Formats: sequence, structure tokens, C-alpha cells
Amino acid sequence: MKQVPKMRKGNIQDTHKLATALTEYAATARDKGDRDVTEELMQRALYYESQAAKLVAASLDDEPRRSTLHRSAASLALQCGHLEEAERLIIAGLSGMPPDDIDTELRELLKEVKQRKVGKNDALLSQTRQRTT
Amino acid sequence: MMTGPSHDTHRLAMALGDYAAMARRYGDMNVAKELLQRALYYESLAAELMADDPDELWRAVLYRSAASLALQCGEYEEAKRLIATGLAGKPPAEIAAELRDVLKLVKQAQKQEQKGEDKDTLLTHSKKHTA
Repeated sequence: MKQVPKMRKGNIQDTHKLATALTEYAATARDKGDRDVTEELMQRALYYESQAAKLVAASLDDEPRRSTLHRSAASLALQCGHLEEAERLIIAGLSGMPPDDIDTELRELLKEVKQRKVGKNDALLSQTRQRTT
Repeated sequence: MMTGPSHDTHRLAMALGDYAAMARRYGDMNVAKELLQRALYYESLAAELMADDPDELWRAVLYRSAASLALQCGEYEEAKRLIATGLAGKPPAEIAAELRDVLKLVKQAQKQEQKGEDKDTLLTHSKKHTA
């Protein structure tokens, strides 16, 4: 049901602010038990945070903004269950010159993504075994 | 009675419209615009899912609601297209009249925009037609 999102023009700060605001509204929706709205808002927050990260991706000297945005977008991707996207964003973040603390956070996030991937693969393997036995 | 995917999609659109109103109240205009755009997308989708449905009432209601959202988003040509599609079926007289009311508002908004008025000042006129 999801459409290809429209590209919204804007500067990095505005795009990041929109993503942050959408995450806050998603939290409100979660508190209210509006699951569909929560999912929609998280997906949109991920879209805008990824856009903000993309806008700064080529500016390797723009730290800590560059790595912070990639970490934030990766975290949203993880929360949305987009593990490949999360991994891609973390690697992009690490491929710059992140400060030590953000570097550590990115690596911790990467561990979490890998654990989730293993868990997902185990679940798929288990399902396949059940079907074939 | 509307059921199934169209109903779920419509409910999501309405919920997003409510959150857009909340964002507007809090002064988060960028969030309000974003949520209204998403509400429009889902309401248009709900209407399209009902496009060939014999239930003319719900079909027309969804097109009217989507057109009203398009008006609030300032997407006047899209609003006109949705109104035309809604009227192209056999909508009940009451809903047909409401679709024509939305069309009047769209034309009015287009004229006001040509005069240079802010789109945001036009939004309140169209809200009553959102299902």
C-alpha cells in the first residue's frame, strides 16, 4: 500500500526537524494505540531522516552532523524493521570520519542489526524446516 | 456499507487527518502539511479501491472526502479530478450537491491564490466535507 514517496525539497536542518517531529507524533500515536498511524509516521520519519543523511553524505568533513544523521536514520530503519537499509546507513556513517562516541554508537547499532538479521534468518529456517518435514 | 481494504485505508486517512489537525493546533505546520498529504494519498487510494463498487453512496463520499483533502493541500487540479470522478458515477443527490460545493470552493481558492492570498487561509473552508 505504500507509495514511492515524493521528494520534498528543503535544507538538511528542516528535513531533519521534520523527521524528528514525525517521530514524536509517532510516539503519541503509539501511546494512543493507533498502530497503523504509528507505522505510517515512523516510515515517513525514516524517509525524511534518510533524505537528510543523503544530503550530507558527500560532505565528509561535516562532522558530527554527518554521522549523527546516519545513526539516527539507521536507528529509525531498525525500528521500522528495514534491516538492510539500517546496515547500509550505518556503513555509510562509519565510512566518513565520525567522532569516537558516534562511531561507538554506530558499531553498537550494527551489532543489533546483525543480531536481528540472525534472528530473522533463524525464524525463516525454522519455518522452512517445519514445511519440509 | 464499506468494508475491507478500502475501509481500512479510509480509516488510516481519517486518523492522519486528525493528527494533521493536532499538528496544526500545536503550530507544527510542516508536520500538518505532511500528514495532510498522506491523508490525501490514502483517501484517494480508498476511493480508487471503491471505483467499481456498486455502493454509490460510499464511493461518492470517499471521492468527496479525497477532493476536500486535495483542496486543503492546495492541489486544486487533483481536487477537480476527484470531484469529476465522484460525479461521473450516480452519486446520491445530497452527495452530488456536496461535491459541487467542494468544486465551488476549489474555484474560489484558485481565484484567491491568483490574487496572491496564502493557501493556509483557505483551508478551513473545505474541512466540513471531509468524511
